[in-house]
Amino acid sequence: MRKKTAEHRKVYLVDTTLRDGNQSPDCNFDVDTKKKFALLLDEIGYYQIEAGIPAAGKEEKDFLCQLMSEKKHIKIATWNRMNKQDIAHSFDCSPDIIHISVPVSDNMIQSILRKDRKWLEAELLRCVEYASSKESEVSIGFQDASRADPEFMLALASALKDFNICALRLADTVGILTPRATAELVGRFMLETEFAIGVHTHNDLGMAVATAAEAVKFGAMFVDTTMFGVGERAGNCDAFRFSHAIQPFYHIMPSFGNLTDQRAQISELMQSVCRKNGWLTL
Amino acid sequence: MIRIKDATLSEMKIQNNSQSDLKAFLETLQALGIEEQQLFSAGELIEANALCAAGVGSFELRGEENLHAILNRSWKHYDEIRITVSDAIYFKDYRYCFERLLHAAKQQRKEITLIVKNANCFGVALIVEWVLCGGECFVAALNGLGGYVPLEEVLVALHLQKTLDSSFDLTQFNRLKVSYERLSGEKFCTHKAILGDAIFHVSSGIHVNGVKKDPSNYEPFPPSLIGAERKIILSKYSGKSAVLMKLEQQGLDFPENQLDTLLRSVKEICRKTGENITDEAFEMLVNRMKGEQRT
Repeated sequence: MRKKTAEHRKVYLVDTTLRDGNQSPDCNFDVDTKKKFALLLDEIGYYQIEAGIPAAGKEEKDFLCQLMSEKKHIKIATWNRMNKQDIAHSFDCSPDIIHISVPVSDNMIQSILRKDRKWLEAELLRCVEYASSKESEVSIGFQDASRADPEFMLALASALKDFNICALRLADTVGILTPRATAELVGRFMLETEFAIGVHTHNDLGMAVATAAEAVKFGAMFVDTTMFGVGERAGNCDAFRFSHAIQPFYHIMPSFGNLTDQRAQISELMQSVCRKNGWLTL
Repeated sequence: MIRIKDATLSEMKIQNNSQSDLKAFLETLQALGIEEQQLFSAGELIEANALCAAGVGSFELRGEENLHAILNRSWKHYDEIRITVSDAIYFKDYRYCFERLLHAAKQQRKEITLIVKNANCFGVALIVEWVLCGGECFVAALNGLGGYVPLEEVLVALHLQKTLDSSFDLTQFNRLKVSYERLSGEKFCTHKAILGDAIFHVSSGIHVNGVKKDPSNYEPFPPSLIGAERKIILSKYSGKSAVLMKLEQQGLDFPENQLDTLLRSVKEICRKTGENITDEAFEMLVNRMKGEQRT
């Protein structure tokens, strides 16, 4: 999906409750609740849901396969680390979108991957080529983008320009972006690449909604959210709060009305699997 | 130099009216670096007549549309200017407004206190931008009481922007939280930014692995900054790294070649119970498996 048409002022929520939300120690989704949750979001009119990590094991893969066969319109994305083994697990589920997460900050490249920038670029291209060999769309996430070198990220984006990437996501992995830093980061990607830009924000400093809104102001098309902001540490961008805040100014998908109509049902599902008193509005 | 007017006490419904708890709360706030208490309520804050008598000029900024009206008013009779904004201003050119106001304040040698009503969660972002534009004074309240900007979030955000001086001691936050919960009878949500009990709990394999290699990979600041501690939680998404760190944290020995079996058992228990495994249950499991190996 390429940017720069009028259509792109629409803002699409990408729900990551079942992936990033579920990585919180205080959320324990069972398979049955996951399925109900995903199908409810399909009914609400979500464009995309990040439904799980196939490499996590058989139970997760079985759930994702089942979801693919039962869902109607919603696009199912799977989350993958940047390696061919993870992507092969995703192939087994035939998702709509294979999302590859790429740690792009020097700290992560060196301490987690124990590699260098050159290796990262080569491995990224190898993985994207492999992921593109099947029918799924491919999206890329720049993990820890808020602490990475923008020039390096733009060089990676440039190297990806000949692939059919449906979205490029910039992740504020530890929730430290300020509005002006968000504007600069997203603004540069909008100006210097042709990709549809998504953002993934965290609420460590209480700014997840604000930085996501700032990214939208500067052209981001996809915003990752979780229900009630559940997620690791202080959580993610809260779908309800974000929708409420930006709906007077942007055309959001799903609509704020559709989302709030189902709030009670979503809340009931979430309360059955998340710790009480964990998140304010849950 | 940043100056914060704290509105916590004016907004808190005190449940435990003990003098010693109140004193401890105020002392901890002071140790944190907060010198000034806002001891009147939000209703009074926007009561312009009362404030005018106290030498405070109070204006509500709605955006560029009324910025010039505020700038054109004479400020000379006021000792202090208070600007109240709704956080809906976030979708307007707030930086321009802030810069113009601060420029005018500098020319007239007045201080502006910014008050953001945080209805849409843009409050911290606006205060951070206020300070980055050169603003020094604002109102905040612990846990966002009264719809003000949460003190704990804005202080840590400003610390990470390197805009706080050394007079702020953020390690006091954990003590302040205990004191606040005692006075108000209310607990912070466990995932509340900065002060939630669970924000430094890590469980998923990917995150534990990253934290083990370098905690800054998945932490915006070290827990010690606010006087807290990191904790590894074993859940169905944990990996070998988490089990190893947990064994180390609890001072337990376990044969390395049996770690996969231990991890499988941990995940199985979590799956069956739908809960994370407690430290006690983990210790019992480890001891039971060691016993089984001996027999």
